[in-house]
Amino acid sequence: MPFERRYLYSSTAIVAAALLLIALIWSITSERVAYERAMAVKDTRDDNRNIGSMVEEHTLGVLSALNQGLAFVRLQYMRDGPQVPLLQVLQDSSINRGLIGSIEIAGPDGRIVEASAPTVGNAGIDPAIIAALAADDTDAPFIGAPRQEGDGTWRAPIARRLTQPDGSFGGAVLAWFDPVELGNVYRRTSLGEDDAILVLHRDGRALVRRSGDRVTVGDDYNDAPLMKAARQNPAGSLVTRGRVDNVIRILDYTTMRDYPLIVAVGTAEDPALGGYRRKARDYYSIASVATIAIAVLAFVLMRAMAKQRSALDDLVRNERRFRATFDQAFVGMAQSAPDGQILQANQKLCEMLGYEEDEVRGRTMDSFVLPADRDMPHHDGRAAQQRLLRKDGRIAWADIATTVVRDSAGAVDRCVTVVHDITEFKRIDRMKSEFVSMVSHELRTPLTSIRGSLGLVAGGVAGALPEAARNLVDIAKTNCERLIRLINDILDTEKIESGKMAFEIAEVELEPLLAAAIAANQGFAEQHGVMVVLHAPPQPVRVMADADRLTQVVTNLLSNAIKFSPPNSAVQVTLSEAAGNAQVEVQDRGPGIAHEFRDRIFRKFSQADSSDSRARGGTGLGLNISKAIIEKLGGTLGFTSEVGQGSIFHFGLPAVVPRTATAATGPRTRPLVLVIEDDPDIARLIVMMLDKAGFEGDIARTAAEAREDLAQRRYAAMTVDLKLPGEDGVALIRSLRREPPTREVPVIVVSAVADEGRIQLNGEAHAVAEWLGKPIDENRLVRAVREAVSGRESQHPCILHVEDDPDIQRVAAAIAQGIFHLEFAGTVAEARSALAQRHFDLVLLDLRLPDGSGWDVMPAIEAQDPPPPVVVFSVDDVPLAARARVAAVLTKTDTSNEKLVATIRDVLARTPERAGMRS
Amino acid sequence: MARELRRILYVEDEADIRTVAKMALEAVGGFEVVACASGEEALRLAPTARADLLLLDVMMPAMDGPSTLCALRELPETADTPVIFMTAKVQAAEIAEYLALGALDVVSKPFDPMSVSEDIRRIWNRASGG
Repeated sequence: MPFERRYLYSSTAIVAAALLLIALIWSITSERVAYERAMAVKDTRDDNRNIGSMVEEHTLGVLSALNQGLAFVRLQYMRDGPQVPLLQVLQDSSINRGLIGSIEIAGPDGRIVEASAPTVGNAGIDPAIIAALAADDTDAPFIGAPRQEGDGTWRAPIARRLTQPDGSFGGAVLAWFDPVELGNVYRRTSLGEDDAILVLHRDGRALVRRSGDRVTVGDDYNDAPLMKAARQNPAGSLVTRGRVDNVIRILDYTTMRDYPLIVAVGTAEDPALGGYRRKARDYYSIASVATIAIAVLAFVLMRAMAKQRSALDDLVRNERRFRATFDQAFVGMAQSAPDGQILQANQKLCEMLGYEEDEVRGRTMDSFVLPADRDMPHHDGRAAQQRLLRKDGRIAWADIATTVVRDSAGAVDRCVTVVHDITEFKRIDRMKSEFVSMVSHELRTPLTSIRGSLGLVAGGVAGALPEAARNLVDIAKTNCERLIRLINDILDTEKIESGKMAFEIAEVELEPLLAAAIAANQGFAEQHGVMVVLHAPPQPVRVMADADRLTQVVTNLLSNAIKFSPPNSAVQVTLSEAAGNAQVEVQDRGPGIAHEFRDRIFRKFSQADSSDSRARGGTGLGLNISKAIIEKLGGTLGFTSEVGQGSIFHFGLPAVVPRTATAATGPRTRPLVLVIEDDPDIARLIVMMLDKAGFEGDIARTAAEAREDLAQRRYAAMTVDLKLPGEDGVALIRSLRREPPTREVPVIVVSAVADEGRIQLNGEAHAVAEWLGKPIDENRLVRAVREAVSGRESQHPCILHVEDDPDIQRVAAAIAQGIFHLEFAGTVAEARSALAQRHFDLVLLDLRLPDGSGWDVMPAIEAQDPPPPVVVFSVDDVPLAARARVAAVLTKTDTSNEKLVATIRDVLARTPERAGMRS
Repeated sequence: MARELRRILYVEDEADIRTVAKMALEAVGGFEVVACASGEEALRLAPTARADLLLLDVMMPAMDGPSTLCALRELPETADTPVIFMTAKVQAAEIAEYLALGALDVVSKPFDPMSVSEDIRRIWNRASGG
């Protein structure tokens, strides 16, 4: 998943999770708070109801006492008539418990018949009471509305009906009582200052209301929520604001059963819910803190992610930039694993090769290079010009440079190969070369005639010439020769620049070479009246060089020195050897080299003074060519000069130690190891290490010497340095592996560039037994040589694996390690040539090959004596008829490594000829 | 081959060079030269030329030096007459090619008319002696 989307998903997830968490916390909190509130309210209600019960009980008690008093008076009055001792009754505490203030008895018309206290005026009992009692024959007590007296006290009437013996209405007995008494229970409850007790008449008038010290009587509650609720339900609960004191209360009420009264208890909400509120506050604080914490956490997380995202963004951007650079690069580029397998190839490279990227991936760069060009080193920055075989069969020229990228531990992590398409450049270069070559040859043809004619005329073939004509002919002849030299030099320069100058490197003894060059220039020296003297040390000095080219250099230096020497002076040629370097100096007594010219002296066509140079007949290319030749030979060319005193031109080349004749020593009993190493000190060191370990070492300094030695003696193993002069070690190993007498000799690479060499030789199974870097680890070297030598003696069965897929080759090589000796052939042609060269114990045959079918190889296999058994290892199925020709058939897709090895072993065991065949 | 070099069958398409070389070989070297302007002419003249040596230019139109040599080898008279190539193409690989064709040696162009006869005689003697 692309990073941006992943980031989007994860940040959304964080926000969602945070919100969810916060929602959860708040829902739990609010639920908890609601629960707490419900609990608090419930507790309050429970208290209210308990207190309500007490108030009701108390009210009931008061009313019962009043009722009883009335019943007693009524009984007396019915028995005795209007002479009831009312004052006595009031004072008798068994009847009146101090509740009844006064008693009145009235007739059916309401007029007072008897009263405990004198009544004011002639007023009878309230006609409403009389009417109510007259209408109700249930004997239920009637409670009337409280009335305020003149002194401010309150009294309320409670009345009962008097019934005649015939059942008709006979009047009323009425007692006045203090309604405040009903609220006196307040003190015995746990009610607080703001809590309240209320006893209401059903008609909405309060008998008493008590809250703290405030007592009120007679308030009208008809419009109050309490009355509205009570009219609907006889008992219940509500929260309401007090009409007297504005306090909000939780109110519980019940309607009394036998009296028209409603009892209500109200607890002030604030103190009642105080505990709950504190708890709620705590809950809300905790929830808030948690919310903030979650928000901060989410924010921090997202910030961190944003940072990571920006870092990753940078990475992605860099990667994209790199990818774009890589893809759009004008040069072909490939990234490969340390084993050479291409992991990534850019568009340009694919275009150059004519393959799709997925066809390129998994192959090695070398597999695209023409086999003949593979030996060229192209590791670590050095570019080699090689030919690539395109998919369409065409050839592309490429500059291939591979750089090794190491990880922090220093191991090879990646190889980056840059492939420059130089096909067009090559074409143009070839055209240029052809042009230069053509022009030069075309010039030579007329020059040949001119020179020949002039030579003949000057030589007197056409008869003697007059003096003037002779001079003119000489001038023409000299200039003609100069023109020829110029053309030769141009051709040489062209060859050097195009890298086509071939050097045949061999050991050259310098003194004879110098003497010959001096002799060849003797005539020229004599013309100038100059003597050339050679100084050489008594012992021979040798270098590795191309003798002809070295002679060309010496001749150039000599002719320059002679040309610039004053007559009768001497040119001194001095040969010396110091610190492994052979030095040749050519000293003249000429005018020296002007300071301003010294910088340009080695440039092409540079001459100190054009008029001078014409007089001296130079081409202006000689020193440029000489310097290039010496440098190609691995040396340096330079000069010292003093104006007016003369110049010394000198060149140095690495001197070679004379090679000790390897054949000279007597018969050797110890195993012989060939040490191929150009550095004499390292070579001697390796031989010493081998000597200590019981091996005899021969030294070869070049690939050519190695071949010579390998042809003459039988070696148990060889060590190869990869950086050899001329042909390098990798090329040598490859060529040795192709030739039957040397292909079996184990190779141990001892080189500072072992890693790169390993990459180059990758896939060429069994090419090298061991890779050792420099400096040399003596133990590893000795162990490697021992193992290589003993491994060789064990003589594993030799199998030809005909297989074009390099991956399967690699796998097979890995499996066969130490069990079989595998040789690979990628095509029918290669297989035939391998079979023509040697006998195999078994052939492992793929059927699909680039140039035909595996069956095409069968005649060559069957031509071997005895014919080796064939194991078909292919994706194709083999028809039954064909199975008779082979020993076993394995299908690639369902053959494990173990099965492959087991099958090969089994087939080898079943082949009787094998025992007799190998000795 | 231990006889003296006298008659040379010389093939060169360039008239001027042919003239100069013929003159140099005859006047300076004292050889008898049968000069031909092309491979075809050489094939015509070869049966009667009684040449001791074939001296062939390499680059010629139509039949070049090597093909002229091949054709001459088909004739009984020149089946094993020694041959020297005379050419401006004297790179190491090219020389190796001429020697592979059976040439005694190569004389490079431009040649020095005063010494070319001496060079050819030296090559001849070396081949006879060895």
